[in-house]
Amino acid sequence: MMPIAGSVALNLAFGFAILSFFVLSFYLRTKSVVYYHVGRRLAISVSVLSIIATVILLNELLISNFDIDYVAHYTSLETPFIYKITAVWAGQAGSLLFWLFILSLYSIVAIVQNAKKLQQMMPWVILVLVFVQLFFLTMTNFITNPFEPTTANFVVANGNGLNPLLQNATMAIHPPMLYLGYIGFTIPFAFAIAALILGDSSSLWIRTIRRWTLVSWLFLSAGVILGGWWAYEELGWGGYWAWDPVENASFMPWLTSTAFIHSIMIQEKKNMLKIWNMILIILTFTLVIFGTFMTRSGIMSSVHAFAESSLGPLFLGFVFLILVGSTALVLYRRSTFKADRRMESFSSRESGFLFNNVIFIVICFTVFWGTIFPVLSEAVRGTKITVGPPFFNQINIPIGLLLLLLTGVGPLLAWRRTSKAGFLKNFTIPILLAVVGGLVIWTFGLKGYVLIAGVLIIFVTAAIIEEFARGISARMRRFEESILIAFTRMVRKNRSRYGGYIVHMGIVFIFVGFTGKAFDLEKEVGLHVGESDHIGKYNFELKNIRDSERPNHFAWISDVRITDRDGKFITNLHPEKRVYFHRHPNPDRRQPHSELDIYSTINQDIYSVFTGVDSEQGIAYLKIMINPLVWWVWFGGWVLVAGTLIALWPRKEA
Amino acid sequence: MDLINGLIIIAVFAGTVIYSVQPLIHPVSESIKEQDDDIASLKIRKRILYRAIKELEMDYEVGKFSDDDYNKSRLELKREISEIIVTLRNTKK
Repeated sequence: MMPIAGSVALNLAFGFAILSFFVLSFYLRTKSVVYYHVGRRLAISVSVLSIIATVILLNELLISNFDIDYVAHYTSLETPFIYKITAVWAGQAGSLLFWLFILSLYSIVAIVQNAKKLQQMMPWVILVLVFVQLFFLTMTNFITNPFEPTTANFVVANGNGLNPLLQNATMAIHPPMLYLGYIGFTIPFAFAIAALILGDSSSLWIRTIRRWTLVSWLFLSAGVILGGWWAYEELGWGGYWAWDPVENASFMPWLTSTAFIHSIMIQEKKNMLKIWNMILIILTFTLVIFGTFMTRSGIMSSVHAFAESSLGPLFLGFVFLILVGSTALVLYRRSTFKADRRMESFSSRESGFLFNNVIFIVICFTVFWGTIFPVLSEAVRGTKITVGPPFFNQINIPIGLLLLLLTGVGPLLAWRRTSKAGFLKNFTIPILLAVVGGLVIWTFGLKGYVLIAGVLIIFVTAAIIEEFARGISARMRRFEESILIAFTRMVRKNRSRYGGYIVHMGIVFIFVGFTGKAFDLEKEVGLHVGESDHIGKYNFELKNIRDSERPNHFAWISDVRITDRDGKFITNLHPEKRVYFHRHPNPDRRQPHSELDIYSTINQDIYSVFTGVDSEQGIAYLKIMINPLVWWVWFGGWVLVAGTLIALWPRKEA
Repeated sequence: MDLINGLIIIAVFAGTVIYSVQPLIHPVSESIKEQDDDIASLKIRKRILYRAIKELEMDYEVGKFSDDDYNKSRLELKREISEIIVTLRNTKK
């Protein structure tokens, strides 16, 4: 009954979306207001029906209705409750429905929020939103329906269960965050297209999309960081970023949206870069769809997989349509969106932002090229040429360091022009501190990128602290406030500015973490119980190997005691070797998995992986890594989130 | 149970249909005032400019601007605000 209701909800939503599209188009021709209200209500109904369909799928997953193919594929009776929920987005059909679900939530908010505002623009905005929904409804109705009944000609007593790699708490939060970020960019895109059609570059809608973009950016940033966290805690290779296509798919829109967040400030304040901002928001949305296409079409594993499914070509067609349509609109409106004034000086904040935009786009292009090159090489020459992390690192590390420099330079520059006196006043202390810090780092024998990164980290930190200090001291002088009150009021009255600086500080912390990568240590050993080995300044001893049978897996647990070279106790680690679906009669269906254990401190992580076990001989095969400064990556992520929340916090309007 | 579920689902689906076509049955009288958007936009621009002046003053106090640049920028912002105020006043009339 319920699966049929889910399918009907999707069918109805599809029909309503088509109706809404035509009714709104009719309103735009006739300007008969009744059609606008019908079209608008139809659009809300599309969203409501899509949400209902998602809730029905969730219900079916929770009650383990294995008559539905999707449920049988991604859950089993043993799957814990929380992972039955996460199974909504674990597979292709479910994740596309989840896309639609988030888009529907956002659409309802955008439509209701602007019911009395932006009256010229809203019909077009709704039209664009419905158009995007229509695309995903086509997918979920006709290409990959999550309510498809099972094809098995017997009663399915139990399902396959969720991939063990996805049975991780971070994985329960990471995809929704990423989706909330990804899909949120549809709203600014819809406004941008509406503005291009109407030739409207007014402040009203720019303000609306700035908030939407910041919210989406916040979720996307959190999603990207959580993705890194998941990779670090779950995959067992000791790193958090491997430049794989899925990671890159989330990173590219992050880059363009970050560029947009900076350059939209110039449009707001100076009425400049209007066309450029349009291009950035269109590019961001296109990369969002392209990213979904990359991860869902199977093209990254093989071009042939892409050709076998109709999903890939449809996605590619949609990307092409967005690009062609948007480009045509941008070209058509280029004179309307011409800047009101020109950049006055190279030493202005405007030019700093512009330069940072260029760097973001260069990094984005590099990542894009490195990501699609294997696909292109396979399509053109028949052989897949893999582009690995060395390519991405070689290009992006120096550019990234340049970006880090701008993170510090930008806040020190003034709008319009930085005077010579102002330049000397603001740059002297950070430069001096960076030089002194650089000399200290150099005396420790550190060179190359580590030295440069160290110098830049000091420079940017000093620049940001100086900005806070000068602001506080100005308030203390002017209003005779105490330091604490001056700080609080300054941040409260300039949330976007100081929130932005805190975000910059988060980026600095993340770079501190990146720098630690240069000092990673790794050792793989096989140990009998009671044997020990060492890595860096630590000894590790295998104290015991235990086993445990749990509801959905069997586990061998190794107890590893870590001490320093003087024998001082540091910690006990308990990495596990698990076998999921261990009761499955077919041994090929049983899935081995290494559940690692990490001892994390500000200085370094001691990272342990139980790679294999020889239970007859009593040998545990372990990989132990010393990963310096990784903690700072996650801490930087939290600081970045906190800064964005401060920037987003609504202010009382006068 | 299935019957109750079925009835609920039918009611929900029917509800979306009724909600969507309601303006055809009971036409909404309110019109779409394009001028409202322009006024709201000007008001927001005015707010942005006032904030820009405050930021400018702050930047000046922390020594980012020369006297000349500060005065010039402040004057430009004030001029734009005055223009907006005049436009808003004329619109009200």
